[in-house]
Amino acid sequence: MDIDLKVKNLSAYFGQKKILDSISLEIPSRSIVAIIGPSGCGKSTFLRTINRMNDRFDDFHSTGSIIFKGRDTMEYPVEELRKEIGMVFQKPNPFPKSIYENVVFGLKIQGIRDKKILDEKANQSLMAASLYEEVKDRLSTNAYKLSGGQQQRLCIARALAVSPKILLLDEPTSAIDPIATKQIENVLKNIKKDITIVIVTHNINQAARIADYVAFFYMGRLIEFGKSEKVLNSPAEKLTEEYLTGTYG
Amino acid sequence: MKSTIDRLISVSGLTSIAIIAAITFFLFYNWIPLFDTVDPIGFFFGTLWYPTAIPPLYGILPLLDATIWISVLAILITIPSAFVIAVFITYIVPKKMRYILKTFLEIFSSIPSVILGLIGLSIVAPYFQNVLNMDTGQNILNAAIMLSLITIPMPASMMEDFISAFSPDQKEGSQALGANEFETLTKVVIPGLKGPFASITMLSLGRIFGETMIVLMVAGNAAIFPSNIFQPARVLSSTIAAEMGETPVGTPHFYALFGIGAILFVITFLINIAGETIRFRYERQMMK
Amino acid sequence: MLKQRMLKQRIAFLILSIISIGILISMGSIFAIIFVNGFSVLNWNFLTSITSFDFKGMPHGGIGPAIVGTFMVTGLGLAFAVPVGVISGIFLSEYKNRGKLFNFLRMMVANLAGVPSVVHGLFGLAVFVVLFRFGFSILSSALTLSILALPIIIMTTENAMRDVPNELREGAFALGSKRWQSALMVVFPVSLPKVLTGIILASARIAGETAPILFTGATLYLAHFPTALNQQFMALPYTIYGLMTTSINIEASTNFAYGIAFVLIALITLMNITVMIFRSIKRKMEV
Ligand SMILES: Nc1ncnc2c1ncn2[C@@H]1O[C@H](COP(=O)(O)OP(=O)(O)OP(=O)(O)O)[C@@H](O)[C@H]1O
Ligand SMILES: [Mg+2]
Repeated sequence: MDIDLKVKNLSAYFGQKKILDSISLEIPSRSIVAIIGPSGCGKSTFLRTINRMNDRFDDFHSTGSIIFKGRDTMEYPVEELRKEIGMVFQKPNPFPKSIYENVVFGLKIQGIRDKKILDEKANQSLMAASLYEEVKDRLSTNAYKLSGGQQQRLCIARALAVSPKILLLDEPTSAIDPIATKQIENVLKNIKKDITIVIVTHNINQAARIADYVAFFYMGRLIEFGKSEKVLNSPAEKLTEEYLTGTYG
Repeated sequence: MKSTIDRLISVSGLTSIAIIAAITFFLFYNWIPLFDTVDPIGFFFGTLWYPTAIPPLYGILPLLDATIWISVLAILITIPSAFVIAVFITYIVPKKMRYILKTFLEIFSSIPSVILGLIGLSIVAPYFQNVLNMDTGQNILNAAIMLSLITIPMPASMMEDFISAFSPDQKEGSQALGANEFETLTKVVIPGLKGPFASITMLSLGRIFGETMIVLMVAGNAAIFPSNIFQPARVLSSTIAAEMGETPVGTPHFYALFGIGAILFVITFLINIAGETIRFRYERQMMK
Repeated sequence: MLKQRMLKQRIAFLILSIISIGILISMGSIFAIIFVNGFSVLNWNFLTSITSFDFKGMPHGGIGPAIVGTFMVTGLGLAFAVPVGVISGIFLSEYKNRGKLFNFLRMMVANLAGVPSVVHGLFGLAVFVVLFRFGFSILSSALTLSILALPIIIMTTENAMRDVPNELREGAFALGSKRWQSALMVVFPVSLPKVLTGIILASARIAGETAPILFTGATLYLAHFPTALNQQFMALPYTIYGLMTTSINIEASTNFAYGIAFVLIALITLMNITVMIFRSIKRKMEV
């Protein structure tokens, strides 16, 4: 089994406050890894440390290492890293541009101008995100005209367009209705043949439906990590069990 | 990793510092040669400004004195008026009128000062002279009134923002204790907003101090020490405007006018910094 | 007791209202005076033809060259100020948006906005007229005015960009954007309407300025329309000043000056109203 991302002893801090505490974890290629855990336990922080999104904050720093393709993520130019590790956010955040411009944005900023390549990539990505049929006739309309679920799939398409190896999703369906959620889950199941997916979710059923592996976080620590049937059905740790049975969180 | 464009943006971002530095440099650079021929004491403490007399006299004291007279009078009119209008808009007029009045104030404040000069010269001055029987209508009072009119909108609007935003829970708290609106205003709102009001006063003073055209046109332009507000006067800024046009480059007179400019610049700079610092301190206090 | 206190409030508010209404009315009457006096002077000839003075100092003809001159210095001033101002605003919002240098820079921008306009005039004289040898010219005046417009544009751009939600920046960064790509390709287009508002306000401001052009290029009398940037020029605000302070025939000059004041205020109010409309459209869109 290939490993895409090797997290070793990762601790992260905002100022003096330790948010992540010695996380070690290996993320297998072409699988869906769900991260679950109570609110505030550091799931988003973990995700945003992987693609170095937290670098923007002056008071953030981390220790330990995250190895991607044999190199520590800190050694990459940050733009390079983010091209390889895409991200989708909780709230759909399309740019106030046309649907087409949204999808090709990541390519354009790499300097790709060839209309044929752009068109082809745009179509592929929209298809992969199961959005193509719905928007193919109105690629030039503003992305804000789309429904929330469509916007989120557009954001997925936008991330896929730059052909990342890993896609990080932070509660991508929490702001979206059940039908749209179903569509997005299907999209993720379809694309995992090409791409590794790490998804944060509050919804344990969602984790059960789509994840191959589940990681349970609690107060900044990784409590349990393993095959999803195993973790969700017969957890080894008491904390995990309490969380799953709804004692808290 | 920084790209070329990032670097370009960073450099352009520093333009305002560069310009401030350049302004400072060129004002002083064109002032210092004055002291080759003129005694600094005579410049700073001389009581006569006769730049074209023989020998010329470059004492700025009367100009400074007149500037203080006009600025103080104008700020004494401006700030209370601005406060009254701010209270009027917040507490008295219906909500719908608020936006209209603030828009009106904004439009009014965009009137070029030369037009206020025109009004002061063609309407207020004759009125002062013919109806109120003053010796001359072009005097300190006229200039201060016209200065105040053009300045009032900015502090009024800013005060209004503060008063209406001033934590409503504090207002409610005091109203729950049985205070009516007016008592809340005098006992809670005003004491609570001392910081912002001080800062707004400084900003207004900075504007009044440096304003040129109005004073040039309506203050009467006599470089004397005024003894009351019905006398004409000539201030620092308007002296530059009135005389620079006819002054050859590189003469002592030219340098002296740059000296006045430098003094004007430094004083407004200090006034503005004081205003900003007070505001900054207040904001930090609020955060706590 | 309670009644007494309410009475006190009534009286206080009554006095406040009377004073406020008095001030607001005097402000309104300034518009009225200019409208009434200026409108009677206005006609096509006044707007388009060249000014001339007879031997008694009576102004004749129109203010065509002054209108063109004002448009030229304002337009050229903006052409200089907008790129630099917008980029500086972007820098303050997207690059150095906190910390010591940021606080210092912001303070400098605020101070630049507070520099007396006559000091700008001196600076323009020393640098553009004398040092750069642009002479008394449209170019020198436009450059001087551009420095006046700069802080206004910087501040509005910075605020406009700050109002853009962070999610959009993160979206761009997550795709591998460099800072300038997120700033220029995503954030700036969103803030553009507000930036434009700032630019219009800045032009309204510099169009009415007199002191900065007094000794950098404006002249009271020009027998023709300006044709090149190295020429001296007539400008609306300066002509008002000149007419009111140098003319022998006060009454005729005053009338003429009111005509100019009318045109100048109409121009500036028009720009202001454009801004108001911009804002109210935006507000409606946000609701
Ligand atoms: N920018 C920041 N500055 C300071 N502290 C932060 C920052 N972002 C997050 N934190 C803190 O880090 C901790 C973990 O936050 P994080 O957002 O990672 O939790 P989470 O597991 O994603 O929670 P949720 O399920 O509510 O999204 C919280 O205590 C939070 O207050
Ligand atoms: Mg989270």
